[in-house]
Parts: sequence; C-alpha cells; structure tokens
Amino acid sequence: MKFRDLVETYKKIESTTKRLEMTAHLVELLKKTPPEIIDKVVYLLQGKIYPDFVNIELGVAEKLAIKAISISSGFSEKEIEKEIRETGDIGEATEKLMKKKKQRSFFREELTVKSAYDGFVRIAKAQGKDSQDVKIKTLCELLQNGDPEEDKYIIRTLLGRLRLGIADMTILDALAIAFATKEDRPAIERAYNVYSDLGGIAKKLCEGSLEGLKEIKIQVGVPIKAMLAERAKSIEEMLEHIRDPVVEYKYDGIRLQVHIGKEISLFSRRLENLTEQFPDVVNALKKVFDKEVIVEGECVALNRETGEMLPFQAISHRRGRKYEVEETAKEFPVALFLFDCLYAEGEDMTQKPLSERRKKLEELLKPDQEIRASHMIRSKDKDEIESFFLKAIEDGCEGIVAKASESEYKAGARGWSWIKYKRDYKSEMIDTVDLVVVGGFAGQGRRAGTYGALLLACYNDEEDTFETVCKVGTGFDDETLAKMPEIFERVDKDNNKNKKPARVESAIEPDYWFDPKIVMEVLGAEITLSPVHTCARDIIRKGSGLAIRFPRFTGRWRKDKSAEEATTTKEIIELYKKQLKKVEE
Amino acid sequence: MFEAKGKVEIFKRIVEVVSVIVNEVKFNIKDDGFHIKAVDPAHVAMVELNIAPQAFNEYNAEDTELGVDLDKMESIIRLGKGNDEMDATYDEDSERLVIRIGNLVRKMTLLDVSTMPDLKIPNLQFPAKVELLADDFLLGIRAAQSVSDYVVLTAEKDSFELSAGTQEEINQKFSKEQLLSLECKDKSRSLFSLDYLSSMMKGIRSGEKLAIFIGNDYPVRIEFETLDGNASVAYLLAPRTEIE
Repeated sequence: MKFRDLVETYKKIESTTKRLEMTAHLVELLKKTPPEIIDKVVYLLQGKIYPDFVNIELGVAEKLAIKAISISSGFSEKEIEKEIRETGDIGEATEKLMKKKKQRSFFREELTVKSAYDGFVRIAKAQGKDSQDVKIKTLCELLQNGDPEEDKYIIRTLLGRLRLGIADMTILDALAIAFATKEDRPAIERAYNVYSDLGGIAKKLCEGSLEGLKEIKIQVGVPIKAMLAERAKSIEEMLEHIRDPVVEYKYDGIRLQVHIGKEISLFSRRLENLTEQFPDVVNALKKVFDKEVIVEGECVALNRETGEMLPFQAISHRRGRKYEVEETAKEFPVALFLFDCLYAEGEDMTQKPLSERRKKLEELLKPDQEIRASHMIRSKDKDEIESFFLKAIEDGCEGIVAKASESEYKAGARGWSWIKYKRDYKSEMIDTVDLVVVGGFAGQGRRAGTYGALLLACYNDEEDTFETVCKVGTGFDDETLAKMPEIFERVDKDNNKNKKPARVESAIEPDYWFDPKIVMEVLGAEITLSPVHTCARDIIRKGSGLAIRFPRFTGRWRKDKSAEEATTTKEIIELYKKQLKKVEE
Repeated sequence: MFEAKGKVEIFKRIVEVVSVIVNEVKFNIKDDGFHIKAVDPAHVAMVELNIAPQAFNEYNAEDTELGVDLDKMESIIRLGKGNDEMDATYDEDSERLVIRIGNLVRKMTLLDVSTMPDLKIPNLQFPAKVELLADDFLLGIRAAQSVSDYVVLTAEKDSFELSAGTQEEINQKFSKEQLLSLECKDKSRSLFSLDYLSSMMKGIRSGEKLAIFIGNDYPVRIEFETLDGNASVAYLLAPRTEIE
C-alpha cells in the first residue's frame, strides 16, 4: 500500500469535523489495507508508531528535523526557521519549501506505508553516539522519497504533531463496520478494554474477523483499561448503592497497573508506560512477587523521615521525569498500596468477585515497606465508615472508595460497583499555632537514637487539660533532631513508669510520654475532623476531634511561652470554623 | 568466495572514498575486482568505485555481495598502520567478514544485502570536461565556503571558473593554460551545494588529478584515480536550481 493512500485519508479526515464522516473515511481505508500492515496503519492514523504503552518515543526534535529539511531542500536552516515562523507550522513550511526546493536529486522511490513506517521505527530506535546522524539521514531519505505533501505529514508525525483527532473509540467504530457489523461493536470494545493495543485488535479482526477477536485475552505487558469509580455526595448515598461494602483509602497519588512477567512494567491510568520513572518500585516489586501477576494499586509519596503520606504534589515530581530519576527517587520515596489483582498465574481474575481477587492479592503478596495492601475495612455502619473516612483524610488521603465485594473488574467502565467519596468541605490553615509537646515516637533509620515524631497538644483552658491535635515529624533540621533527647523530659526518667501525665488527654499511646512543658510553633495545611485526636472531641461532630493535617515545625521553639500559654482548644475550633469552605473541583 | 590480502592502506582508502557519501554500502565483488555504487540518503550525491585485483597482494574471488557498515570497518582498520598487511576473508558459514591484521582477528557481521538494491548510475552526457590538480580545486571550494553555501562552476571555450557569494564574493578563474586540459563545446554553468562538494573533497587526496565534467544546469561528475592507478573513482552530484 502506498503512503499516498494514507495521506489521502489524512486529508479527508482533516477536512471534516463530523465523526460519522471521519468513520466512513477510516472504513474505506481499513478495508483496502492488507492485513500484514493494518496494525501499522492504525498506529499511524493516530500519529504514533506503537501503542502508547510501549516505551519507545519517536523522539525527533524540531532542530534535527530542520537540519534534514535543509539537506533535502537546499534551503538554509535560517530560511526554514523563517518559513516556520511565517506559516506557524513546521509541516506546512516543509510542504511549501519542498515544492520549490533548490537542491535537485537523482531519483525518487515512491513511499509505501511499510517503507515510511520502517523509516519511523529506524529513527525512533536510533541510539548511541551516531543516533543523531542516523536520524537525520533516515529523515532525509523519507523526505526525498515523499512528495511535498507527504513530507508535510512525515514531519508532523515525527514531531508528534499529527493531530487528526481520531479517538480510539472512532477507530473501534470503523473496525466494527469494516470487519464485522455494528452489533459486534460492544464485543470489540470489550476485547479492547482488556487488550489495549488498537493495532493488535485491528490485525486480529482483519485476519480472522470475529473469530480472531475471541483469541484476545489478557496478556502480561499489555495494559488493561482501568475500572473507574462513580462519585457519591455522602456516605449515605454510597450505602444506598452498595449495602455491605468493602471500604478502602482513596490515596492521593498515581494509580499504577503493575505487570509482572519476564519483565516488570508499570502503567498509568491512561496506560502510559511509567516503568522507567519508578525504578525503586520495580525493585521492590521484584522482592515481593515471584509469580506472573497483574495487580493494581496507588503509588503515594512518603515523608522520607517519618513515613507519613504526602500530598499528590510530591509524587508529581516523579512523573514524566527522564533525567535524574534515581536522585528524585531518593528525594521523594514512594509506597505502592495494592488494591486489586487482575491476573494471577495464568488465570484471568477480572471475572471473579472482588473478595476473591483481594484474597488472591493478599495470598501472593509478601508485604514490605514499599509494597503493601491498601488500608481497608468491611462495614455497613455509617459512623464506622465516617471515622474511617476521617482517618483517611488525616493520614493524607483524598477520601475513601467503597466497592461491592461481589463485583467483577469491569475494565474501562465507570460504574456504581466502585464509589468514591471525597471531602465536601475543608478548612485551610493560614496561621501558625503554638502546641505543647506531650509525647515522642522512637526514631528509625537516620533518626535512630532520637525521636521520629512528636505528639502535640493544645491547651483546654476550661478543663485545664492538654488535648492531642497532631503528630509532627517534618521541619526538623539535623541539629535539632540530635538535641531532642536532651530537650524533653521523659516521664520515665527516674525509674518511674512511662505513664501518661494526668492532665494529658490522648487516645494515642506514644513510645515516651513527656511532661507538658515545651511549646513549639507549627503550621499545617488544614484543620480536619479526626477520629483519633482528642482536641475538641464531640464538639463539631460526635465521636470526632480536630486534627492538623500535614503539620510542620516552623523551626521556632516558643521558649517565651509556658504550656498553659499554648494555643487553646477554643482557638483551634475558631480557626476551623473561620476557614471552612466548600471543596471546589 | 572472497579473499583479499593487501596493505591496510588499501582498505582505508576504500572506506575514505565511499564514507563521505554513505555509511552503509554493498560491495559487489567479482573476479575482476571490487565494485561499489552508492547514493546518499537524500539521493543527491553518488559514488562509483572500481578497484582492480592488482591493488591487492593476493586476490581470490567469485561473485559475492557484502553489505558493509563502513563505520564499523573503519574502527577495525584503525587498529593497524598503513603498511601493515591486512587479510579480509568472507566466511560463508557464519556470514561474517573475517579481518586479520597481524595476529589480530576481527569477525564482523554484515548487513542484509537483500534490502540493498543495485544502484543505477544515470548515463549523462556532458558538454564540458576540465582536468586539474585536486589541490587547486580544493582551494577554491574552501574559499567559497567562507562566503556562501553554494558555488557556481562555469566552463567556457578557454576558461574554467569557480565563483560564490553575492555580497561577499569569491572568484577563481583558470585559463586554459593553467589547466591540465579543457574541452568545452558550449558554455556550461551549474550551481552546487558546498556542503556536498566539501564532503566529497574529503575523499580526494592532495596530488590526485581530477577530471570534472559539467553541463548547463546539470549534475557534475568528478573522476580521479587512486591507489597507484589501480582504483578509479567517480563522484556525481545533482545541481541546485538557479532561481533564488
């Protein structure tokens, strides 16, 4: 098949905005495409050479393209840059310049889809010290063999700027019409949901029609479309849809689908290959699984010192990174919380109920620091779920997800068997507060011998008690950390028992209790309801207190303040109410 | 079947002459010598190289086609000095080229020749032919590069001229007496890319005698002999268009 045939289709599709017309043009092309290149045609229609999940990029920089255009056309690089500025598009500029090219050539070999595709692959795969040279030469050859109009599309494809707007769903429509019937469209989409390689699907259909489709199965290395959750406005609404749910933390991170076979691959929710950006996760997975599996989870950034979860912003430093991957991995360590198992030891698990999939996951997983099973409870009690939700928020999550325990994994579908619930309101914290240190947690790793985190309280001046409001482990420099054992007076110092001081109200048991004396300045992201902390317990909501989310030591010890001069419970309640705002999404 | 023994210098020269045009090339080996025809990826420049068996100390060959990556070949040749003896043998069983320099043996994998079609060198008729020393021509090309990215070659009945540039200009004119020979039926004038011409110059050595064939808005053919007359080389370059 000639490359020209593909270009004619590109042009027709560019000239319409109607999806039906677009589909008709695709059908016309697909019907006359030989089976051995139909996968390539499908990729090229979307301006790619492989499906997204394959980790090979076309990787041609504009500068390199300009060099090749210069050699082939005889125009100087400056002249080409000027033309690009004037037309605003390097594709148009190429076509215009190639039409009046100054450099003649001896001959032209008409481009076929295969020769163009092979050229693209050669460019994409070029590596090493000569790679620039190979890319330029291959591109020169493509430009030389193409006519000016073909060259326009060659350049656009290589620079990732062939934006015809053909969605995956439009291609599925066209495949159904070309090789089956409209009625078969759902079956084709089902196959695509578990095997997200459009080219592969096209090839199977073209070679064996619908029979070919039946051969399509989950395959380690080819990502499965993610199952998605509906959203509820309240826990009551959640329970209306699922009476007896499994409830999990909804982590504030990146969803990862993990394929473990001969190699390990990580895919995002949009099925991009993220393997190279998370070498630490890949290494950890090697230790944890020794069988062929596909599992799914959420990858969250952790505080390096305390192991607490960090907001999404932190893990976003890891995503899309090509350089200094290892360094960034050290700076922003992550944990992967697994919540599903889609394939295990040769068996497709997606048709099995969630309860069974979770059981399989826990059976195969040998959890460690970096790879764990997600936090989960099974409950139909609204209050219990609400407490779990508040704990999730306090721990740094976005909210919770309720799942029907008998439900199948519906690849690519959003439905009411998974329901997410996030906060409606949040109370941002603008000012610092001065809190009393009442306890300490033994440090580990770099913090061995000192405290890893401190338990902080505010002062209830009505009851004359100290009520816990957060655990803080962030904001300490090395010097402060080293001095901490001297700063705090441990209750158990004179052979006394490590007993909670009488005036401290706490549901948390730290490793060491301190007499409430030292006051420190703390800033947090927000004040949130908490099922754990005792500050303002039962005042805003029955069974809940208030807590500071993502607290951080400002570095300022308030030596001028006594414990009784710390921020009071009343003041925390005021702060909470004053800033309470609806969460906009 | 193919086996050739000769000085490292011979192989080095082959790589030098061809690699200025293209890096991957098909060697057509016959009992009457080596034949290479190649074109650059943009189909703008061509090279034709024929080497007689006399260039080698020993030469034994039947029709063989070898796909050679010249960069790889170059890195092997660099292991020897010009006067060292080198032996190249095609091992048909492993489909590799075995190169021996002294006691060093290097087995080199080859490119798939089935994807390398035979190149047809166009049959061109030139109205003008100029012969001169490489050094004189090279000087003009170097000078032209400092003012433009293309050069104009003009042959008239009794002169040959090389000129370049519009604001900053270069002009080098040879009278018939300053040339080794000049035959010109009609005035011939063509433009050529200096990028390409200067690359070709890297394949030509000082002291070599060039025969330059030109026409009107037409390709140029530059011929010369090398390896003590045992090898003949021709470069072809397509012209640039006149209009700016």
